[in-house]
Amino acid sequence: MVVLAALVAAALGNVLSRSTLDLAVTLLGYVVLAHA
Amino acid sequence: MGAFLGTGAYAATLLMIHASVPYPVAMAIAAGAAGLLALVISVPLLRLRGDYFSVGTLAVTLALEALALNWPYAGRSQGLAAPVALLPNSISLYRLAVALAAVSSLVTVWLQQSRFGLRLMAVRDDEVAATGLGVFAFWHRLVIFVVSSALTGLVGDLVVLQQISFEATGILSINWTIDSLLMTVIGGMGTFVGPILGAVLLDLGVNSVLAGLQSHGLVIEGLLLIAIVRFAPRGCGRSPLRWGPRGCAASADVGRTGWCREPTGLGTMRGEAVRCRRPCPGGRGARREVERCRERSRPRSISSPLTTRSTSPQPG
Repeated sequence: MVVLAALVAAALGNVLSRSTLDLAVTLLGYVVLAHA
Repeated sequence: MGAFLGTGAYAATLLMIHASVPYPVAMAIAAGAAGLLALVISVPLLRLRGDYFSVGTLAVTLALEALALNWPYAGRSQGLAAPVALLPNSISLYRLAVALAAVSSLVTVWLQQSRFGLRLMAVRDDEVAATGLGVFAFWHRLVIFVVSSALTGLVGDLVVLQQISFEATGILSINWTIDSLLMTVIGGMGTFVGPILGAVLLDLGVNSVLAGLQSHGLVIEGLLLIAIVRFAPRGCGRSPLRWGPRGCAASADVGRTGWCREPTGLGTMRGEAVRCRRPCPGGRGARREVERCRERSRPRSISSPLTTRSTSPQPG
């Protein structure tokens, strides 16, 4: 399920705007930090 | 936390500047550098317990900040800037972040389901009792400390790739530690969903609201942390929102099949994870079933009061 969600999220990268991508990178960085 | 994040950031940036190393290789080395730092400082730090361990890691962060501010090779107070030619574009960076989030999530899932994870939970719950049951506590703490530090080092490199330039006071700031603590506490400790929920709430909620408040924001963050620990210590991922069938005892977890399962390591250390015979139906039946699970998982040879501690389940 995690891998599937990651694949879907990676595929969505093409349709997101630059500012949204920037926001998503920050958010995903926080997710990694919280898990760590 | 800030020490490993800063180590990852500095290692990757210095490699990209002085050796023109591509960013995927720099990321791998950054993770290795953060893990190596954790390995080196684990010798004195893992002898400490509780608050003393936290203070020790904080001291390492401050020492590294002082080092970075006085070391010309690390840019001193001006910081460093990664070479733009070696940086990925926005979509590649996004996919990299997705991959990192997936890896960290998979590590969490593995820790929740593996025997190693059960032993870790046992050490977290009560190190003396876990050691008494045969768990080599120091080794488990060391492994998870190094893995966690390597992941944090990867985040440091991600920050560099996104922001291009950084300075010592920012990348080695205590704010990273506070943020990661807030995320975990807001979302709920020891859960898979908790950190994700905490990250979303912190990034899109708290940080965006407090962005213009400068130093007052830190005060409010601290007060928020105290309030959450006081009034919702289990976090949003557990207390207000219930993940699982209603009626399961609060101290019981629900496994993949919807069966009641003992969440802590101490109860399940003796072999396979102990599960109830029936799906968790709710109410008193579920509580009795959890009690039976605990009875089966209780070590026969060791009559330790620790295995019976906090075994009274709360009604759902």
